[in-house]
Amino acid sequence: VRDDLPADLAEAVALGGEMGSRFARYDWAAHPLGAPAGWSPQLRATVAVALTSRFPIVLWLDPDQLYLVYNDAYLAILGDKHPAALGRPGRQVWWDIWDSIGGMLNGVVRTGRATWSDDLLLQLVTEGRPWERYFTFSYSPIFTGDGRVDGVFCAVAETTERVVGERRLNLLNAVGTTLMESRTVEDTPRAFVHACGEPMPDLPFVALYAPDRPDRPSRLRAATPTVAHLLPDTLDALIGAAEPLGGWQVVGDIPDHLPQLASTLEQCPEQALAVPVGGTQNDTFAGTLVIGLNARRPLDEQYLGFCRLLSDQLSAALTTADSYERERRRADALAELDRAKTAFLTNVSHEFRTPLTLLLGPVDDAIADAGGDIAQLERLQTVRRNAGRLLRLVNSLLEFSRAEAGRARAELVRVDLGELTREIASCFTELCHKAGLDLRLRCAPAVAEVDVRMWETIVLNLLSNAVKFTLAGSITISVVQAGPDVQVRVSDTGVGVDADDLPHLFDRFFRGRNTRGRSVEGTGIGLSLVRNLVELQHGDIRADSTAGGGTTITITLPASPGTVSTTVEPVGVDNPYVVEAAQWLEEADDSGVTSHPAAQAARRNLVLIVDDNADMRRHLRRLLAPHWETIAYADGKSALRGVREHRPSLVITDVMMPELDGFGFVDALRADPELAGTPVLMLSARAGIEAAGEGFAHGADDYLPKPFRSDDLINRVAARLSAASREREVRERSEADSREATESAEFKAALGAANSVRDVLAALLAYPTASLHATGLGLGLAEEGRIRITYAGAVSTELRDRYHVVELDAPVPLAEVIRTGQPMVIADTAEAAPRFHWSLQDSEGSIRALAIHPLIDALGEVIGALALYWPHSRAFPAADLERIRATVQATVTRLDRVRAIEREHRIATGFQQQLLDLDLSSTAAVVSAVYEPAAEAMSVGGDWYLAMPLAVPGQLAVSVGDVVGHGLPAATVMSTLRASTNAAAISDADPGAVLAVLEQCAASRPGAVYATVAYAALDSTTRTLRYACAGHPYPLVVFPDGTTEYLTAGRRSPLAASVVNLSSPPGSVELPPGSLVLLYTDGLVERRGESLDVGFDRLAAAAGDCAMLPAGAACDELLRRMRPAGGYTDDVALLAIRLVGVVEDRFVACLPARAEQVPAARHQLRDWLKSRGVDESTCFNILLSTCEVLTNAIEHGSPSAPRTTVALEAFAREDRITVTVTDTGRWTADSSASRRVAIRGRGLTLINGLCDHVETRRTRRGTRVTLTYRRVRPPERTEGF
Amino acid sequence: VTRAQYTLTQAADFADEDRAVVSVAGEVDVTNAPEFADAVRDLRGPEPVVLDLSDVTYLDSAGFATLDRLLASGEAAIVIPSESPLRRAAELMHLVYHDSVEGALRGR
Repeated sequence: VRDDLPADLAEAVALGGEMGSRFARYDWAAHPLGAPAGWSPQLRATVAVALTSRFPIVLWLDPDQLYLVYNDAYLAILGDKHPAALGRPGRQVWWDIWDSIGGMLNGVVRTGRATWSDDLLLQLVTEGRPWERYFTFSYSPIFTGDGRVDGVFCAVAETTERVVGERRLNLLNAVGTTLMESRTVEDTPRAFVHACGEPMPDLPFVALYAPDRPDRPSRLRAATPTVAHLLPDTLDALIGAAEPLGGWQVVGDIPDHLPQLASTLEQCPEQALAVPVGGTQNDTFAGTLVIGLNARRPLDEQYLGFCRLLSDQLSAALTTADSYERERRRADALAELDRAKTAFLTNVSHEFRTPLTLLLGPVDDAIADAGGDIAQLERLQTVRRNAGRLLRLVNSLLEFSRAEAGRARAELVRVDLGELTREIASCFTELCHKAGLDLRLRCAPAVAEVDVRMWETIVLNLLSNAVKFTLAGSITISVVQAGPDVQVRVSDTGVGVDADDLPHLFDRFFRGRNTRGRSVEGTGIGLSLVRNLVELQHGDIRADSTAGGGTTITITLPASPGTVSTTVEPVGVDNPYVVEAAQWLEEADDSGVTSHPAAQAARRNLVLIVDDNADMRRHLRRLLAPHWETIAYADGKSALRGVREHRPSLVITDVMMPELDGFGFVDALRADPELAGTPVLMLSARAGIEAAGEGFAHGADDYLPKPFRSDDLINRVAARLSAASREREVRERSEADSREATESAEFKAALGAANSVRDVLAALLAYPTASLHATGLGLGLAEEGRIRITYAGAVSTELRDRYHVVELDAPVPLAEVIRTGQPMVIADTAEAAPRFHWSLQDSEGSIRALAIHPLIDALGEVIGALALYWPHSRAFPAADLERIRATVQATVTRLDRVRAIEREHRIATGFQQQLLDLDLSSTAAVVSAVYEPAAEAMSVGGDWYLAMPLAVPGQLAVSVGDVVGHGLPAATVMSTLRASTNAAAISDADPGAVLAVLEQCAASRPGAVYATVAYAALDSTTRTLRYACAGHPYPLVVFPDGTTEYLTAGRRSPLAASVVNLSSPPGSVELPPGSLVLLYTDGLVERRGESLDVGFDRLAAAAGDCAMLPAGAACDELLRRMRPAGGYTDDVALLAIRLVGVVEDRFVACLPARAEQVPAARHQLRDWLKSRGVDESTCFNILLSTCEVLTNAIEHGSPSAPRTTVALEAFAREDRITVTVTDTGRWTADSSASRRVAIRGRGLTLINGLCDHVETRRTRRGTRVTLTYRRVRPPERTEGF
Repeated sequence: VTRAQYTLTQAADFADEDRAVVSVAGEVDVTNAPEFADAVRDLRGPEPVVLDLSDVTYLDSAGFATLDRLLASGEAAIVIPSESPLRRAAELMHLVYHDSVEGALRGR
């Protein structure tokens, strides 16, 4: 240091860091400006200000040559021009931008008037290359004592990050909006390229390559139009010698490689990124997105983040388009299936008609010839009746399918519809009489045009339905002419239709849930056919009904003028509808016990038969009577009474029955402890495995589909009866199966509700049957060449810490399964292959057996693997392997959805992350912040948080604000207000001054009106917090003892809200060390339909409970506790700061992330532990494990952000001491098995071995490790010998 | 700035022995472990030197790694008495140590 410096400057250079000492050593005497002692006092004062300021300042001394003097903060702007720049003329230093700034500087010298430049683009040359950078600065004159301009003062802030960030955000938003319209996978690439638009700085070009088929080379699909014809046709030709970067590739030397591109583009990129898109889930599209990179911006985290968001958007759009297309194809396929079904019905019905006709004729002949053989006659009549019924069903089906296919033609003739209807209906008269129903025919003459045969079908169908569902009362048919229409009504007093069923009454195959009719036989096409036929005759049909109050069907046809031309053939009473209905009326009058004379002596077993079809009842009794006693019932309800009364040895039951169906009947049997043991044989017309399964599931012992062979039935009944004891075992097993099926269904439901990988694992653990009682789980997902593993259950901390990220080629079992796609089981880790010994050693104790199965998506790609761990060795029989395979299958399906959700969430939070960086370089307080977008709106918001260390050491300013509205406009305004807060606080940190600047700023921006902001400046040396709030919710202080206080002073109106103008002076509060201050936006406390005070009280209560949580955990906990049931309805920003210092129960420190800081922190921590009465040995263990974590945190802090800190928060409770270390390291930079180093391995062993519990939380911002130590009170000493 | 510091003292009680017995006091951590290793290697006397860690108040993973290397090369033997707070960490590190100086000298 030269000793000729005047005193005022000597003081300044001592505080001025590197530039202070360079200024001091500089040989000013040899410089044209001369020695500083000869400089004017004004000039010397200005130099002192510049050198000591932490804001970038440059001085241009001498009005002519403009020699440079600058401070440490300015070095980042100078780049490699430093240190040569000191004392050199401005033109020589800034030759690269002299065209832009030379004129401004000369103007200031000439006129004395200051300049102001906002976000000015200056292409500074560093390391021989121009870079695109933006600056906000002002040139102001330095006057001498006599008013002459002696030089220029310049404070400059680099705004590149913000300008570039906003520009990229705009682009992402435009792309997102355009892609939303895209509906097909084919269109999406073109839409994407179109949205990216013409070449622009951050996106000189984009190109999308994809193969036509998976095994073909990738070809150019779409590219920025200006350059599309200049790009190679295949991807291989473009990225030949690319270098890998994560899972991406960097293509270099673009201008050499594609000279045409360089001559076309104004700014040709030097590099491009190749990023895989699509293909991660079930996508049919998998390709590579090539992004040209701005040659004048570095490829930093932000730029990579931008590219990631861009490719994520494309991937998401491809997935959406793909599922949309699939949905459409599914709809087409369903329509096609429907047509095929109708065609099938038509064919089948035709094929049935011929054999039925051939059956009916000979049976009629046989009946005529039967003579006096009554038994034979009865059998033949049964055949005749049922063949007739079958023919009617086939005819209905045929008619129905013809109508469905649109091939039915009505042959309309003019008839007296009243007459015709009465004729048809009268054939039911006798039947209704027998059934005890009153049939009322009220048919007035009315002329209409109908197809007679169709009309017959309509009336018979409606009447047969009415008889079926009317147990007592009347059926009325009326025909009246009403104006231009003829109305035909069929009303009954029957059981009616449930309101829920009424709208579906005319749907095909629909069958009401009503089982209170005379029969439940039916196909579900009757009424649908009726509607089709009515419509063919230009009519209209509707149904009115109330449950229990009868049904009225109304048909409206156009009346026809003129007279009737045709006579009508009457319908016979032996028509199939009437015959079939007559069957329902047959009482189960055969319900008495029949005993075969021969059998009575042998005290035979009693078989109880339940069937609603009289023919079937008779048939069964005929078959069984020779062997057993029989008794028969027509429905489940009466049969149940019968079982109670007669205690049969076996029950044979039909499934479909009125009143109580077969399933309900069996359920009732099984529910009654006294009857539960009765064997049940179920008969049903519904064939197939599922129907049988349903029968067994309801507790049937055996199941026989109709039609069945007589001897088969008898054999089965015999077998049942003789093996009743064995049956009980079978039943028990089937009950166990059903329990397992229930649990499997519950597992799938739990899986279906999972929204994250952690949820998926929790579901697996909660259902031991699905996870084979595994005690620990690991789920690895392949991501960009690495595997990220999430653990759950009883897994050692060592495993969680060392193997949360492993390289794809690491020698660990999970990685091998992902590489090979083959499942692996290790029955006993003691006998595992030698290559796994290292990794298995780390999980010794908690894992003795494991099974790993690859996760394979619908395209056959291995996306990851699921590992199940057991603490003991075990065998893996084939059934277990099959179970694992099924579980993994279910997991993959859900995982696809979970990953899509996570990706969407990442896009939304990624936007905000681009805007809201958090400066963690202050050592005055531990700073933590969280941002949660509103649950439904996945878009950028107008909330911000901000932390800025001030020039004076130990001072920190923080702010949280909220701009009205949502989306990009709000985000842009937010970004401006946030930047202004930052700038204002640096020049004057006083809350009043900062809010005044913001007020001015907001007044000139329409979108900023009514924005609210909370601002506070903390001085950690005086422990004072000064604050003010413009229309914003009060900041909250949580004192160390858990009491809370809202900071209600310093209130102002929202920004630029001129209507009310209240303004009180800033508030001030003194804080004890370790206090927590919370700033937040109203989304955290506001609930619809609730007073704000309730929200404030809720927050205060929740925050009080967080007094002893580290700042980061407090943020997470508050976000969780305050979350409404359906998620937040508004965005939430929450910022927490905890003042450093030591009070009784807590120790809070924030140290620069440098290894030499650790010993001092350790000594302070030791003093505090001693003061809390911690014994020597425990104290040593706490210090050792804590400092190992600290050292790790410092070593792995992000190298791209040098001025970071590590926070240390320790709390002493009655029963335990917790220490939390929070750093800014990224999880990707953390350890993995393959890059483990010896010392770090030791560190982890110490950490895990010396404390009772380790919890590691990794977030986007860094890692938070919490160590817990139990406090054991020393046992009381007793004096003894 | 506070630093981690240690001292090495020749133990007078064992002056008659043919091997050097050195008492280590203070702290050895990542910031001074290399320097500590050099200092031990500079000690005069037949190897292995007996390092008595009774008065060490702090020793981190870098310190343990240094001791491991000294042990592996046969340059030192380690003494950690049972009442030392270092014991649990030393066991976790599988460090080979003796309970007392006498034990170390007798190779036990």
